[in-house]
Amino acid sequence: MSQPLIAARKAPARAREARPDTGNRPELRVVVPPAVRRLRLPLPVACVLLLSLGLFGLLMTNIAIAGDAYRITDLRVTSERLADQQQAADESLAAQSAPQALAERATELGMVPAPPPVHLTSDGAVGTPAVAPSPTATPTAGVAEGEQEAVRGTAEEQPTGEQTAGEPAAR
Amino acid sequence: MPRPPAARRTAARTAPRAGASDVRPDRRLRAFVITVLVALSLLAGRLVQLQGADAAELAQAAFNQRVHTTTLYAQRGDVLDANGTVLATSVERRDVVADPSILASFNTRADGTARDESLPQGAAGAAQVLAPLLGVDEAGLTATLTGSGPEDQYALVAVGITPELWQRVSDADVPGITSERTAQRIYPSGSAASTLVGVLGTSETKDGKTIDRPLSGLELAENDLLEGVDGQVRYERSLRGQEIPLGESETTEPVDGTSLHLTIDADLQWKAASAIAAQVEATGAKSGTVVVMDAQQRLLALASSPSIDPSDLTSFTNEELNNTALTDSFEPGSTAKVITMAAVLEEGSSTAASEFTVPDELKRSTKVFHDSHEHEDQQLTLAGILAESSNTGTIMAGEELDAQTLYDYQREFGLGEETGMDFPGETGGILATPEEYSGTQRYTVMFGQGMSVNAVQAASVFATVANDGVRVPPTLIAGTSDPDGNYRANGVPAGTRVVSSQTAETLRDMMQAVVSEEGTAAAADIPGYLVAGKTGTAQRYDIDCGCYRGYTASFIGLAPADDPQLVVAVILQDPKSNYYGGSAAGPVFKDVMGYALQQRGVEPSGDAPAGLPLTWGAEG
Repeated sequence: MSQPLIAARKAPARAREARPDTGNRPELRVVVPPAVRRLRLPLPVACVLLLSLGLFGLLMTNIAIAGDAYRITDLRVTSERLADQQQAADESLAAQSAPQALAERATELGMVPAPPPVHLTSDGAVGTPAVAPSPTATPTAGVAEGEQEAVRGTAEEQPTGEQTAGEPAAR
Repeated sequence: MPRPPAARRTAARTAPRAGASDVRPDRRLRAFVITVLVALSLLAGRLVQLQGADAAELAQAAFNQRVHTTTLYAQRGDVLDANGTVLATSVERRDVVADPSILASFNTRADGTARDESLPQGAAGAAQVLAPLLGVDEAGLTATLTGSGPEDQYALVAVGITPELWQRVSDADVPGITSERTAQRIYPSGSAASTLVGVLGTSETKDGKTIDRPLSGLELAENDLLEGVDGQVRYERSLRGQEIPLGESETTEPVDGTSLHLTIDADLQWKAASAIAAQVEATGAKSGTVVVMDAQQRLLALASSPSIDPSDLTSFTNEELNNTALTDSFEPGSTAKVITMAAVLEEGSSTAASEFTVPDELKRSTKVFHDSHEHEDQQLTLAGILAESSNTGTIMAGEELDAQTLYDYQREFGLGEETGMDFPGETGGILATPEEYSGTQRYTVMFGQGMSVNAVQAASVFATVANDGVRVPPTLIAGTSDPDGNYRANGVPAGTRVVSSQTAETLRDMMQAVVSEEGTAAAADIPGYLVAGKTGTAQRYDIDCGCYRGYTASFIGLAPADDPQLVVAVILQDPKSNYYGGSAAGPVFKDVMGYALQQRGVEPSGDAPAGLPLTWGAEG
């Protein structure tokens, strides 16, 4: 397989040998370099420029990093304030959704605990409907009727005002 | 060639000048050089000392000046009810601290004149600025801010203000006013759940730091879970507090505590707590307890009265701290007859319709047992004995079983051992083995004297009957959620069969008669629902005198009797005005159970009342 290849490689060499000389000396010419654009800036100026650009870039990076540090501080403060606000909101929500707070609010609004319900089933109505009791000043959590009367007397003297505003609620 | 003469010429020219004035510049120069060299070598020496010998130490000192350590506080886990209502949570609070030595020169220039003419100078001026913000009396605040004199450097101005208020105080820009961060535990449900959830107090460590110290309830029992681990951040900062970019920083993240999700329903808990508190007051009882659980013994409410107000920990008694549902054991009295009846029915020695002729007194061993009231001999069925709560009848039915059999049933119903909830201060009650029985104890245990239980154990017996005879250990904690919010449900404990479902059903039918007109607790009847229950009026063992004094009034019941969903136990210790279980505890049962059925949307009973015969032979 290599035989034809070798032959092919040798062929041009033989051809060169075979070429007749055109002159007695090899022709030497001045090779004209390809057109090179001349640098407009002198080298020192270019160096200074590059260096300044580098330094400027470095400065900008530093400013950016330092700026971030300030932003982090500011954002941290903002985040803390927002966390405080959220916590205050959560706390207020928890306080207001607590059963006794709801009961108190409901009583203030003139609501009363529901009487025993009447159920409608396939066998008809189960239970006897009762008229809701008229509102009292205190949540009727107690079971003894006389007890409610006693509590009512004292509760009416206390203003059931808001926690935030110091004024008694309008009645 | 001309060089030698030239050299000579130079020498000749300089020589004459050297003679007189050459010495002084030379010596001056030399002295100068030496001085400079000495100075330089001193500097060099110092340089070597600083850079070489002390370098590490000094760099560390500088680093310590720049570095700042802040504690990152871990949040304690919350306690939530079954619906996510907060029962306990932690919030941030600030303690405002003043430095009177700085405040003495408030609003004062270096020359002693006031910066702001409209404000007084010194502490009085600072007080005028801060008093309206903090909402305190100005004169009092002036005294606080003055401290014990200009050398005083610490005065506590306000405790536990909200971060928002602190922000406004801080914005007022009064020098010498700083704050210390604290965490405060708040309990939105107040005293209604305080004995169950517990309270978190504080105590001081040896080095003067204030740390949390759980005092009672779940706060104490589950402290390891609830408690978080504080972290800290260390970073290099500039003079004005900015973090130095690319400086060294090290953060240890805090680990928040795990939150507890209870089986408790906050609304029901409040209802139970307020109902029992009112009845304790009305009857002049020493304490009162309400237990609400479902048939699978998930506790829905554990209320006790008196209870501590968690927002005011300045004064409280141990009684207010304890949840009597678990920490208080008592002789159950007639409610324990249910166990005797269960054993009798399950062993087949009697049926609900078995006929007994019941006298009002009965001599057994050395003692004569009485019923609660005198009566002629009654012809009662087993159901009638339970409905009338006859002691003598219970002995007649119960003595057909041997002591060991009855004891085994009592154990299987969960008596004589703790409930396994790991509640602080829980008592498992006392249940003597037949070998330990003294005198008449063999008979008294049949009607619930000479043994003691806690309220949850007592309710548990009825829940087992409600659950068709299968006893599931009581649970209080449904699950936990880790700081990332991943919820993990606690496993449901496996149930064990105590009595057959047939026996359980018969017991429920028998107990329906208790709330009927003929029974002992007509006051506990709830319209629309079939209620099965049992009163208890037991003599109360008083530890103070070591004798029996006063009574324990109780009513424990389940509803609806035809499809049991809920169990409510009401126990009043030492009520003064009314000590009968039916009339003292019955109305509370009705109130709480009625509310619970309505709140949980339980369907009314479809079946007709069981109406088991209570007497025999009357018609014939």
